[in-house]
Amino acid sequence: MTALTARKFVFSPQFVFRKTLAIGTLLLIWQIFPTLGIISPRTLPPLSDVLAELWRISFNGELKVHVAISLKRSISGYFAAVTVAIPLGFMMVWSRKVHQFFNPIVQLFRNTSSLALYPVVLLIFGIGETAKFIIIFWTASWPLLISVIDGVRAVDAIYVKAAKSMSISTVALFFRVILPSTIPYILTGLRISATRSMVALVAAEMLGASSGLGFLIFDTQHKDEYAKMYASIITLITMGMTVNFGLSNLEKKLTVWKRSN
Amino acid sequence: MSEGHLQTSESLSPSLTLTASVTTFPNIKESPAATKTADLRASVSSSAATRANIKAKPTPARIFLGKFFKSLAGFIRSFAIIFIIIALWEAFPRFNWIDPFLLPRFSDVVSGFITLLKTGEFFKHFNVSIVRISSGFFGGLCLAIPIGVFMGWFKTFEEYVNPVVEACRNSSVLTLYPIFILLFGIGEQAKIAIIMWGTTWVVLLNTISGVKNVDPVLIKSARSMGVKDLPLLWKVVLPAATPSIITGVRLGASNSILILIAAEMIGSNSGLGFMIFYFEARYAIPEMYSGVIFLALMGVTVHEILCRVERYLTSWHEKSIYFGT
Repeated sequence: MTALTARKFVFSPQFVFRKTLAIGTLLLIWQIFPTLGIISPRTLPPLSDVLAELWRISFNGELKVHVAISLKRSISGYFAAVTVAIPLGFMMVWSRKVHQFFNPIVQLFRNTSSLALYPVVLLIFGIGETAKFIIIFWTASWPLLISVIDGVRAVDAIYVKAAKSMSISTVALFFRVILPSTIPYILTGLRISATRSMVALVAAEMLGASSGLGFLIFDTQHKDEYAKMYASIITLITMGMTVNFGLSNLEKKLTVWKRSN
Repeated sequence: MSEGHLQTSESLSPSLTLTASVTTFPNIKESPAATKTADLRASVSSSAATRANIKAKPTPARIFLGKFFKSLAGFIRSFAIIFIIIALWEAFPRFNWIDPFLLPRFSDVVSGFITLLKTGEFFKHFNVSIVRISSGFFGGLCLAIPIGVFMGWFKTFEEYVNPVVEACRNSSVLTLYPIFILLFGIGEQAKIAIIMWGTTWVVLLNTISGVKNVDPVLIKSARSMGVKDLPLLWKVVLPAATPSIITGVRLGASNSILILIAAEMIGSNSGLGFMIFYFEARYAIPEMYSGVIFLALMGVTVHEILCRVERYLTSWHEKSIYFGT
């Protein structure tokens, strides 16, 4: 364990070389191939052009507008899902009977591609912010709900029995036993639903929006402004990876006790 | 679910056997512990002939019938919520509690679906979608599993390539869709390629971690018996990595359905995703709902099939866990 963490956090030159070699090579190819004309520079502008464009649009305020609106949409949908789905998940596994009652619908919706419902949402709520909020909320909810349900079901029965044999109250049982042992599952759910809501965000913005990063990507593609398109793709990917990296680090930190067992 | 139900009733039966034997029938003491409670109840009210029956094992037909009715009741109970939702769906528009234009009656949706089946319009889109998703998904598998095994096996190579794999996996797939359109044009190729992309990385990462995390004891003991590289890979490493690989395949499948729908909605003129949007735009609302329901059922079916495959391929694994603890 200690050896592992030590290797992970000491940035020896060898480690850095190993981690950056492949990506560096790819970036180099991205720079060289279009410049030499091996790939048409129209479809794939050289990396330097893309970075210059990224620099330009991030300082003339163009990018800021789209990033802000995308963030607003995804964050509101995501946090609404967190506040609704986690308590709902706990309620759905209150007892075996309640779980059995709700299970079919959960199974049905977890496997339904949430985008299939987008036309329905558009029909009911119209093309506006509400529809986008709803679809992101919906997409983010199911992974969370499922992770809570799985987490509660996976609580070691011995803990519950031990706590009950010491005549614990139901509330205390929940807060002292069930909730702590469900946390790893919830964290995984948070990460998965963040990724999913990102996909929903991009799709929703590509399908009917006049702002947001998804729209920007699609719009620049139609206008043949490829350097700008790649620049906005890089922005979106960086955002997604930052969120993912942050959440998985949080997950690792909060579940150290689990792995050390 | 029905299994759990059976188990509880069986675990109850020994205690009931005991009380019954103490109070009324001393001769039941010899009856096997597995005797059903239902048999006991019947015996309380009836003659010596049935009493003799209890001593004998219950006939296979009886066991079968008992199980059948229990599972039927379990089925109805476990899908109660679906029936309730369908009933509400039928009632709400019928009594005008919801605008029937926004939510048509369930029966209208079903009849709309039947019309779609009859006219063949559904199959036109369905066939296109199936070709896209199966070629993308299986193409992704064919690419990811061999490469994953290779990368898991040669760990240094994996260490160098890992950052790229992580980056590709973490970049939202749909973001890249315009690039795919740019490279492959608005045709089948772009859609198949993006589905392949969405499948590949999850499966690849799961395969790598499966191969890398094979219990070293298994490998060492095989080595100590003089197993060569290739048989080791085939007989030890691959089976041990199967659970992880299958998990990847399951995730990849649900990813690929999501991407298929999105790709068909964004730039296409055929396929199920397009079909739903087209019906929405044409205000053919019952048809739109039937498409949504079909996609939901498709997702569940694919998930269920893959779960079965998982259980089949990893049956050895689960058994060892249960016997061990």
